[in-house]
Amino acid sequence: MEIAAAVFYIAVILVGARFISAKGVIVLCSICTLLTVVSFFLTTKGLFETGLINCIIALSALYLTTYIILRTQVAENNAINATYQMTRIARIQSLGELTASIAHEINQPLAATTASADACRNWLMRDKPDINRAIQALERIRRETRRASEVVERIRRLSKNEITQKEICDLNDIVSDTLALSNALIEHHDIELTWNRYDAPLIVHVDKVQMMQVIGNLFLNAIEALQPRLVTERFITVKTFTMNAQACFRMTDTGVGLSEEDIKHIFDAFWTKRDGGTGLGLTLCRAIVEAHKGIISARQNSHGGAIFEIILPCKINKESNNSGA
Amino acid sequence: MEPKLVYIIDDDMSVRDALDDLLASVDIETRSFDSIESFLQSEKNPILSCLILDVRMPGQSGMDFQHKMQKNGLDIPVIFISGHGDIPMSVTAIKRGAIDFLSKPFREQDILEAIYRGFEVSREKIKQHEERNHVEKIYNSLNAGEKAVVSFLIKGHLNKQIAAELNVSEITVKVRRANIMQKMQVKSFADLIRMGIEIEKMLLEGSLQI
Ligand SMILES: Nc1ncnc2c1ncn2[C@@H]1O[C@H](COP(=O)(O)OP(=O)(O)OP(=O)(O)O)[C@@H](O)[C@H]1O
Repeated sequence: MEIAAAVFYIAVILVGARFISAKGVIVLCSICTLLTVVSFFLTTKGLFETGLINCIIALSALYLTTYIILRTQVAENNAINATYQMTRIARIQSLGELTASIAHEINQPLAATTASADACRNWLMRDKPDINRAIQALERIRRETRRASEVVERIRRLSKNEITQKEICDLNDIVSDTLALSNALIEHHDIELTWNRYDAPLIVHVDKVQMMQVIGNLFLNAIEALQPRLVTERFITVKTFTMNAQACFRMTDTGVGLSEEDIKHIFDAFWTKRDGGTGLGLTLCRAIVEAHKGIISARQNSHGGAIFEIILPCKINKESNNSGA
Repeated sequence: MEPKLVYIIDDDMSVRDALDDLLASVDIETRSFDSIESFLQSEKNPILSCLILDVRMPGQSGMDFQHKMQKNGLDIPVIFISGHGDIPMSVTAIKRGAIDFLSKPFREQDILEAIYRGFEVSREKIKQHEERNHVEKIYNSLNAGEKAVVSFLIKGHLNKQIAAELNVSEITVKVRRANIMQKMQVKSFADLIRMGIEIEKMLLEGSLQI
């Protein structure tokens, strides 16, 4: 009797685990335990000992199932987190702090420059112009602008430190690898992904890790665009093809889409509509694509949603000049 | 023209020099400091003045300093400047009585306007301060008996009541009242009451002792 009931409880937990969190599973398991024990005391028929053994077996099965489910959930969560980290470009936790200190570094010489410029004008506009003091102010302006440009140079050097390692590879493989990494995310968000892979290699000369970051970031943005509740159709279509002897990548989503205004600013640094977004994702995407002599563009899909396209120069495959768009 | 002075505290020498020069070019006298400590050690004249203070100073934040300044009786209007443009911070600063909160780089017009507003506030503060000094001096010139009479007068007691309260004759109260009027250099009873109210306020604040 208890064993039959236990099978039922296990089914409840298995089904429940698909929809609820780890905490929920534990609560569910506790309820099932309670029910099993209660039913054991209520069942007066049959031998007490058999009942006890059955009850213990039932509970063991129940706990084992719960344990396995919890472990699986942890593993899945880890996979999802790893994917987020892998694909999110240069996500510095304290980016706000970093920009604040850069802003400060630049605002200091800027303040000195503007104040000196005002002073310089005032010295010259006096009834008896004070040329000497005006020149002193000009000297200060020159010093301070140099100081500001040194700050900029320092920042630039910082970002140049990343070495790029270009290699000959197939764009199809880069896309496949990135999408494979994101599998956990797609399932987690209940999204239907279509991957139309071009049937011939698309040979490009790129830094593979950087390209994966670009595609991964586009993909994360698409997933985010599919998040709002009003989005009922959750499709992402990824396609590779050639056009004018160039390797092309296109990602189409059925998300919130892009307004004219969005398209104008979407690649601007710090432009974001997302709470907690840095607005640097697409900026870096474009920087990387352009460093590879490619083009990245965004447009609104006439059926709703956004389309992002990357065009990269093809390395050898120049002969396959067919337009597959 | 009455003397005016702007104190500048900023740890960045270029900003300090540029501000010094800008204000000199419009004939405003300045004294600049690279730290709050050196400012505190300097001598301060009781003339129209305001303080341009960088929010972020090594050791002590400008915000904390403004807060402490008021408690320590250093009553100089403060204009904050900041390289961060921190809006929540500026709200707090203004709430605590700062004249303005300007982000670097600031516009000449904005800083000059803030400075002149600071001078106005400073003028008010100085006037208040002088008035209080005056009241304090006069009050302290009264003897104990006269002080006692003043305290009852403020409460609106009549001579007869005061005499009963203090256990003296009504004549004595009248004599003391005349002395008080003379020492306080007031012409009417209304003036006396007005000054009396100020005294009461200062007694409550503790800036004056009985
Ligand atoms: N597929 C898309 N559909 C609709 N809007 C998009 C899409 N991709 C990007 N956007 C819009 O562009 C903005 C900028 O994106 P970007 O990747 O530069 O930064 P972010 O995603 O907001 O921040 P972060 O890079 O830190 O994730 C987003 O906030 C979003 O509003």
